[in-house]
Amino acid sequence: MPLYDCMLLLKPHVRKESLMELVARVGKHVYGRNGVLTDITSFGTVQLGYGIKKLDGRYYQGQLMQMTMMSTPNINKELQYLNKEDRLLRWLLVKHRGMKNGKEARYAETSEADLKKYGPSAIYDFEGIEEEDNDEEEYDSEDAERKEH
Amino acid sequence: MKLARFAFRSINANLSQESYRFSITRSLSTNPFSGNGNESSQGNNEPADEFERRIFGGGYGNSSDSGSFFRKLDRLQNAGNMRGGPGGGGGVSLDLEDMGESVNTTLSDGMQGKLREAARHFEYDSEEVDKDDYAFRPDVSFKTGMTYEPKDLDLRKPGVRKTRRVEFEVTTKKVLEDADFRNVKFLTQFITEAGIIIKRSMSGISAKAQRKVAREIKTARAFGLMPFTTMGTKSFAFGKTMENLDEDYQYRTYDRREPGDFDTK
Repeated sequence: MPLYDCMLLLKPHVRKESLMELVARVGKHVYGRNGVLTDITSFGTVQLGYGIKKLDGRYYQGQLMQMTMMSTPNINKELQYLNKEDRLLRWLLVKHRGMKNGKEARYAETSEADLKKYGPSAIYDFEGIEEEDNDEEEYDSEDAERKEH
Repeated sequence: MKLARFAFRSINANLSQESYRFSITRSLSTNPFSGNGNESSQGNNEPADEFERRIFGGGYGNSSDSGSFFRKLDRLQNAGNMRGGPGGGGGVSLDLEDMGESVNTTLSDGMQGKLREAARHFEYDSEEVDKDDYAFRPDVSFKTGMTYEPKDLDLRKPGVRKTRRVEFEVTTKKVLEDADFRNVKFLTQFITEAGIIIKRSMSGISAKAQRKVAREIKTARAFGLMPFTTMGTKSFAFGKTMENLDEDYQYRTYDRREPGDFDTK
């Protein structure tokens, strides 16, 4: 049985219990088919690339969950009922890629420097990459300064 | 005036050809392609002008390919003359021009001269350099203390070269390792401001890696993590919402914090 990653993108306001219930249902389904859940990772709230339009409006954020499971290949067909799930924005089943020590989990991490990079100073910076580098260094040193105090 | 020049030129050409006539006839006798020319030149002593017109394709009589053959011969001879020394130099250049004229016989005489004049005429101000606003390269502003290389002064090239803006450096190995539809932070580097996947000539990675990147970006788009396009909206940045916020439409303010802010904490 191959390893799969089931990615679930839920609406941002869904509460934790509701989310757990959904994950548990998928998990039970897998166990019922003699499969095994090997890992569950939460990516937390992620910003989306565009507003996903559902019946109750547009969503610009979502809660991302990843369930790694070992199951038979027809699991994809069995999970089709998730399309009717109104707590979900998107779901996706992909073959698991042998990532070293849960690399996927770190994808969602946002450092402050990343956000600063896209700030107004970066937008109006036409000088090129050198200048941008300097900016980052400045921010880093500022961060360090703040920690000291 | 012009006529006189042409006449002088043809005389000069005749003189120069006179000097190497013997070498030509020698090469003719060894050449299998030109049987008729060979016989006639050896058989009777015709005047030099007539002989020349026949050999060098004066406009009638000869077939075109044999004419061009002699022109080729002539050129070889000229090359020899050039190496010979400065004495034959003037004759050589005139001779070449003469040949060019015999090739271009399609235009009427007046037009030929006008065209030549137009091609050679270039209006310029000889005291240009002494003027106040003179710049050798008006398209580049050289500052004092600036260094330049010889190629910067090449007027045939644009002064301000287009520099390929290198957005980021990435290796094929890193791409194959890190490209994943969940790794939005990494994939964001591969899309333009408008959300278009950058091409391989810009990213500089292998075709395999480029395919992988494109595939992962498309997966991420379908999953909602990356935009299909951000044309007309604000550009996508990892960790920032795409929602239209009021602050996006506000005037930007200078948001640098005062260093004193940290001291008060």
